[in-house]
Amino acid sequence: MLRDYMRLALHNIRHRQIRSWLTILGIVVGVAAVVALIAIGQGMQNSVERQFEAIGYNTIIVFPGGTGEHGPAGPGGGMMRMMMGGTSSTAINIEALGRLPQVVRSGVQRIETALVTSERMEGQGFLRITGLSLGITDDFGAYFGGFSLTEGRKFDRSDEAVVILGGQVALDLGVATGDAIQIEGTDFVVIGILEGSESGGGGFTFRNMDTGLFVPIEALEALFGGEGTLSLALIETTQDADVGEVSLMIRGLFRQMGTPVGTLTAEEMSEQLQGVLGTLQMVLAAIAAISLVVGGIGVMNTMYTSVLERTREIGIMKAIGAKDRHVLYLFLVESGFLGAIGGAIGVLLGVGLSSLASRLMGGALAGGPGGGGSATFSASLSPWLIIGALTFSFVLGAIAGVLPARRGAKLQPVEALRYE
Amino acid sequence: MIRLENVIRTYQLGKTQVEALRGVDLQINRGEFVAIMGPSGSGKSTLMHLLGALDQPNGGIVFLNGQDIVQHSRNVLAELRGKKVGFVFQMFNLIPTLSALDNVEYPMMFQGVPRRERRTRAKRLLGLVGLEDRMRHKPSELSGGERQRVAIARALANDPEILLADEPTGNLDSKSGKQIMELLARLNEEHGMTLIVVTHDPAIAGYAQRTIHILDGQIQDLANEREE
Repeated sequence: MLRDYMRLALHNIRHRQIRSWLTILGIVVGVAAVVALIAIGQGMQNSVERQFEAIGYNTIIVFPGGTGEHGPAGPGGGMMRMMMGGTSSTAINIEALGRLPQVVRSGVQRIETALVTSERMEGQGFLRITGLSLGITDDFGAYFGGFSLTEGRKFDRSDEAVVILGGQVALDLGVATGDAIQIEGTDFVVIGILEGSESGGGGFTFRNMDTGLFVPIEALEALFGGEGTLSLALIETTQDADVGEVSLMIRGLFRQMGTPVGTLTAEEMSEQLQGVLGTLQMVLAAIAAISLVVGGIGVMNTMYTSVLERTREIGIMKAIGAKDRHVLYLFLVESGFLGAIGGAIGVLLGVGLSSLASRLMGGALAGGPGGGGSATFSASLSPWLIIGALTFSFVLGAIAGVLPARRGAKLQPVEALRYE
Repeated sequence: MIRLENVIRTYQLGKTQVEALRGVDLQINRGEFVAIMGPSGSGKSTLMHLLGALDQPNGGIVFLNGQDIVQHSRNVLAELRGKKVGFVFQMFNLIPTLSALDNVEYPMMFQGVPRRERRTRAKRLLGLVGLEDRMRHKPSELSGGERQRVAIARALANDPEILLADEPTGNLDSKSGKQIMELLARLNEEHGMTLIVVTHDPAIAGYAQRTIHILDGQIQDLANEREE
């Protein structure tokens, strides 16, 4: 019986092609927008999660100048600072972390702005110099996106006045490995150049590596003084440690020493970012859903017209034995089909749009630090999203058809037969 | 088979009350071929709708197969129409988008007859009315006479006990009209189908065993009812 309704419904839809397609189009647009937005949003969240997984959930970021509770403006503020690589530099005794058994290793970085000149560059400029503790780019590779070099070598213990340049900076300064640049008037030998990222780096989490200048942290101390001054410390805990608890201990420890710090765990950052992305995704999907509602109204309108136009046919159906519910089902299946066909085409279009987005955004979002290749963005089309979209559009169509179908079902057979 | 007692049917047409049937008493027996005759507006179509359980009276009793149709829900009436009654209309009333075969199958769908069986029965019925080579045609591709034969095949789909025909030849030329009437008469004679034909044409009424005259919503001249 249901198959008969489906056959008849399809027959009727085909019979009124232009009107049917226009109605279906309304659903297509809505479904495509919702599917694409959810797929892209989910893809972004997955990408963020992968980046933080790469960093490791047992990594804690410590930045000085906190209130000892969280960052200056709560965890969110802390994150902003972290994303900028830490802005204010303060001396804290990072060695004190050795007292905590859960801390496996740590690394520090310090950021200063310095006057940089190069013989090959006309004029001069103030650039951000990042001082790194030895081994930090290996110990926390994911944070630095692998820190892979196109030429030269990384720092070693004996290095003093040496610098590794981001790919873009090397181009701007017009220097290669072995050349010298001047930072605050002191000669620094370029020992390595970072791989440029196609997109100019970025990623969701960390600042651009492409425009960075990296020196041993001791070299910054030599230039600017302030032993033990740092902008940010990365701490790896033992695998089984409770990261939240360790964060608490770290904040307590430094508060006691009179140099309060803020902490941020990878999990906290991930949650915050995902929270923001999730909200954004919800808002966009809700806007797209409005167009679905409009599409549903379109289906309702079409079905009302259809019932009116087929009043006589309904009369005939009833004369040859159709019950009210037969008429009801026929129209419901028909409007459900309008929804489902729109849903199916909408899903295909949504899949197309989101894979197009993957291609366009994939480059822009990948390749940045913190990914090490794992940051590659691709829209996430779960089977549930597709099944959900198809089911929803069928149900939407059917619901939109309820009132018109009921009107048809309730028609008096004699009156319907008389209808011209 | 069919019995009407003091049946009243009124319509509200705008502000005026139209009395279509004003106390009709009538009995039709199984296997009879009855013509209901009257000028237009006499209430004969209204009477036919009541006989076919398409409509319900405002007063009186309509017994169909011993059941009072006033007592029944819309659902039961629909079932009654589907199983016991076959309609043939003046305007054919075929579904224009469906083929002859699909039109004949349609009533069986509402009775839940499996598709394969529907096909077989519909083909047999179209054969019975002489349209075996026109089964895939849409109504618009058929002549008036052919359309009416499709409609008769459709009316027979669920093997009804009563066949109701409202001016079945009203839209046909005389030759096709004659063929249709011969077909209907044959159904009555050979298959014992109770046949009620509503018409204003005395020639059509001539096929019937009995003619009931109706005028202004009332049965006329009851004494003459039993003419052969």
